[in-house]
Parts: sequence; C-alpha cells; structure tokens
Amino acid sequence: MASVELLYAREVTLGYGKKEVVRFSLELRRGEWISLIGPNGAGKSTILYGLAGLMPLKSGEIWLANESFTRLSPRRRARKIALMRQIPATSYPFTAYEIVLQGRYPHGFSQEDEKLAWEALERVGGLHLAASPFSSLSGGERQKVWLARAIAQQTPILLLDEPASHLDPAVSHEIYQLLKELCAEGKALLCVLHDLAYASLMSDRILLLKEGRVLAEGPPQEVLNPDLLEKLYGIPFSVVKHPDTGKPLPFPSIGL
Amino acid sequence: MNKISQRGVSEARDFSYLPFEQREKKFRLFFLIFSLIFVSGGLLSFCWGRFEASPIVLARALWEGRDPILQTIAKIRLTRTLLAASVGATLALSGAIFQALLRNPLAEPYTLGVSTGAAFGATLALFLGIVSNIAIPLFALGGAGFTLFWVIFLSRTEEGAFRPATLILAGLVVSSFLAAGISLLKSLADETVSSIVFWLLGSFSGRGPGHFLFFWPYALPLFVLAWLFHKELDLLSLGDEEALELGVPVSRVRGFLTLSACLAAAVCVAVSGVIGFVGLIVPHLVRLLCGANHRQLLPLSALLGASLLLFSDILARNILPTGEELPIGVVTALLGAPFFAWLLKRKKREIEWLP
Repeated sequence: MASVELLYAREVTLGYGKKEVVRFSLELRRGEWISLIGPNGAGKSTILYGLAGLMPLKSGEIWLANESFTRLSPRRRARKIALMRQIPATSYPFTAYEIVLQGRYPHGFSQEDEKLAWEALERVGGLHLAASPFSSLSGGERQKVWLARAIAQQTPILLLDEPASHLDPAVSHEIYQLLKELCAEGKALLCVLHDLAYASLMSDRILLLKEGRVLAEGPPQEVLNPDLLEKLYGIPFSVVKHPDTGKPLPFPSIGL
Repeated sequence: MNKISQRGVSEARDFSYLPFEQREKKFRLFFLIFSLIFVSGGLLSFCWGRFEASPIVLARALWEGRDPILQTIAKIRLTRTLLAASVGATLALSGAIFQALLRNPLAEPYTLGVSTGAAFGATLALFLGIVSNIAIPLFALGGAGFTLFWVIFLSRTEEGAFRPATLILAGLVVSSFLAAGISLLKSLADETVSSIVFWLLGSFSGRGPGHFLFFWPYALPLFVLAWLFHKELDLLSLGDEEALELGVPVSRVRGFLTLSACLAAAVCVAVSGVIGFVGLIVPHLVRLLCGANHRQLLPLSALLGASLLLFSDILARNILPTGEELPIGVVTALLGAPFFAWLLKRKKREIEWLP
C-alpha cells in the first residue's frame, strides 16, 4: 500500500484561554497506527480534541490530504475524522442501533444509512444489541457500540482516546484486534494509550509526549527503551522482548 | 476475517433490520392512537359545556349564523378548543426540547421557572400600563429569558456541566422569587392588575379568536426548528462534544432552539397563564412507549400534549357542580405533581446521574 499522507500537522499549538497546553507536529499516513503515550496531563487527549474540532487551533497549520483543516466546515471535517473518547452517559432510552445510526450524521440523509449502520454494528459483533437501550449495556458493549458509530462515520482517520479502558483482557483484546483490522483496511489511527504493551504491539510509530512537547517519535523498537521511558514517566523501566513478535514490552522496575 | 466479524455475519440472518422496522411500525401505531384521542378530545371540548349540543348543530350554527346566540357559543367553544390544543402541543414540544438541550429529564418550562418568569414579565407590562398585543409577549419573553439565564448561571458547575437536581432547585428558587414579585405588583396596583391572578394558575376562560391568531406567530418558530433540527437534538441530548465531533454547529443550533423554546413558552403564558407539568409528563410517556428518537418523540409529544390539555380543559370547565370554572393549571398540577413524584421515586438513579 502506498504511503499516502492523510494528515499533516506543522507546529500546531492548542490550549484553553491564554494557556498553551501542547505543541506538536505530526504526519499520519493511510493504514498507519500512531500511538500517543505519556504521563497524565501531557496533552495527549488535547491533540485528539484539536484534530476533532472540539477546540480551535491557536497557531500552526493542519492539512488533510490537500485541504486546509481550518477552512473545512465542521460537517466536512467530520466526514474525514472520527473521534472515540469517553462514552457519555445518558438517561434517555436511545437504542444501540440509534446510537450507531447517528454516526451517519455528517453525510446527510441517504437510503444507505440504515444499511451502513447495520453493517458497522455487525462489524463489532453487536447485532444482538441493536434493539437494547444504550444505557442498559455493559462497559464493553458500550465501547463496541460507540466504535461501531465511529465506523459508520466512514472516515479515513480515526482518533481514539483509550479505546479499551476499564475492560477485561478478553474484551479489550477483541477491540484492539478490530482496530488493527480497520487499520489494515487503510484507515489511519491516532490512539492515546496508557497500556504500553499494546502500544508496542499495535503501533507503527509512537509519539512520546511530556508537558505538552514531543519528547521522541519513532517505531516501538526505537522509542520504548528504558532511558526514554524513565525520562517520560520519571520512574525506572525494564524492557523484555515479546516471545512471538520480538517487540519491546516495557514495565516499571520499581520494587520488582 | 477474525472471529468477531464471523459471529456478526451469522447473527445478521436472525435479526435483519428488525429494530428499525419495529420502531417505524410502533410509531405509526401510536401516531394513529394519539390522533384518535386528539380528535375525540377536540370534538368533546367543542360540544360539552354548560350548553350541550351535537358538534353538527354547533358547526351548522357557526356556518349559517341563523341563531346568533348559538353562533356565539360555537365561536367561543371553537376558539377555546383550538387554543387549548395549540398551547398543549407547544408546551409538550418545548418540554421535550428543553429536556434534550439541558440533558435533563426533569426540565420543562414550568420546572425551569421559565413560565413563572414569563408571567412576571407579562404582569410587569400590565403594571406599567402597557396593553399592546405585541408588547405583552415580548415582556413575557424577556421574563422567560431572564429566568433561564439565572437558572443556568446558578446551576452550572465550573466545568460547564449541569446537575439535573440542582437545575430544578435553581428553577424553584428563581420562580419563587418572581411569583412573590407578581403578588407584590398585584398588591401595588390594586384592582387594575387583579386579572393577573390567572397568570399564576392558568386558564382558557374568556380567550377570544384574537388570542389564537396572536399565539401562532410566536409559537411557530419552535415547530419549524424542531422539524429541521430533530437529528441535531438526538446528538445534543448525548453531549455537546459528541455533537461537535460529528459536525453539528452546536452553539448556533443550541442558541436558535433555546430562544425559540423560550419564546414559545412565553407566548403560552401570555395567552393562558402558567400551566405546569404538561411539558414534563408528555415527553416521558412518549419515551416510555416509543423510544427517545426525536423524529418520533417530537410529533408524538405535540399530539399527546394537545390531547392532554383538551381533556384537562374539559375537566376544568365541567368538574365543579356549581358551574364555575377551575383554573386549568390546577388540573394539570393535580395530574402532574404525582407523576413527577413517581418519576423521582422510580428513576432516582437516572435523575441524580452526573453528566
């Protein structure tokens, strides 16, 4: 697959009010998985929110293929970039299927919508949930339904904020597998992760963020070393090799 | 293909599009039922009162005008019926829209204090000697907007979220203050503003065709916007950021809808006084029966709201043995307050949920 550049961000700064939270440059290609790792408050989620249009850019420029990000209408931007973050709670009885169908909003109304929403729900293995109220689902089921919503949005770029937080290993593995499949089909993924093992196993490249700056960037084999990780998190790390893939598996070495 | 998608394929055969079709069928069924209730309520309201006659007799009197007394009765009845239905539909619709915009299942013009604010505005206009048909609803709108601003200001946390219970508490505080203000104005003005009592309890007594014509230009924007923005309301009721992320121009949509819902609630108060709980009960019943999707929720709520006020008005006119009228706000409160209590008890968990 040709490495077509989908998203190109140069010297972008984001922040609230006068405060600058994060400054970064980024290139994202078709079929690429980039993970953002770093301590809490490093500005990882802020990057996602900026790219999803939840907050305005303070400076810098972003290009999506050949279009300027800032000139896109919100609706056109939402056809290119989908965001999955913390799942909101609701007290209204929307069904899972209705939630997924909402992902079609940026594309306007078409006859295809119902079919596409149905297929997206099928994709995450959630067809049996279609008619159940969203608020009655378990954490893992909600995460899957919300992912189906992002799939139904049919964007080339998918932004994910901790896509498998608070889930048991089997369910979170299922979700990571599904994301990897989407990636192999050509979607570009930008994913905030705390789980360093999955960051290593899934990503093509990793961005290490600390205090709003990019500390390092590169493939997992290069950047997941004890020195950089200690600089990043402020505690000593050990790294072993994954028995099957040879990828680095870091873990904190304090007290072990 | 991995395990997940294979499982999905086998399930597709068992379920194929079922929830969507089911929902459509349900919607049509309830639309039909509510329409029947609405039409029978309308006919009943038209012909049942101190003077009873068949709808055909009344309609003929209205049309031919051979019997001036009968014609007058028919005219008054017709206006009253149309006005009750219009106000009911508008209150239910604005309730459903406030509930979506504030993500609060307890929100409606009455619980938010918006209705009392509008009543205060209208009273103030009368107190200042303004009786123009254009100025009174504008004063009512001013009162409604002022109240909503304070209620939101008081209940908003630093992160911009609302606690549902706090919002209602703030509504209670502001509306108690303004209700006292109304009483104060009434005492200051002696007899001239004594007619304003109806603004606190609501009534359709003595409303003429002028009120009906005056009502719709102010209420119509809400119906048009509700129809245009039903998809956006689905998204907004899940969260502003979720809506932004899908490309909804949130602040614009929210602004238009809030303004038109306030205006509609204000004009309801301007023609019929404070009628509580309609905007609360109706959308809840519809959600229980037919789900939360606004494409179905909004038309069904309007239809059921109109029916509810028609029947409440029939009760208000005919329930007292002495032949006097009961304020309609009393009837809706008698029905609505227990419903509110049931909601509090049964859905406590959902209501105390933090957005």
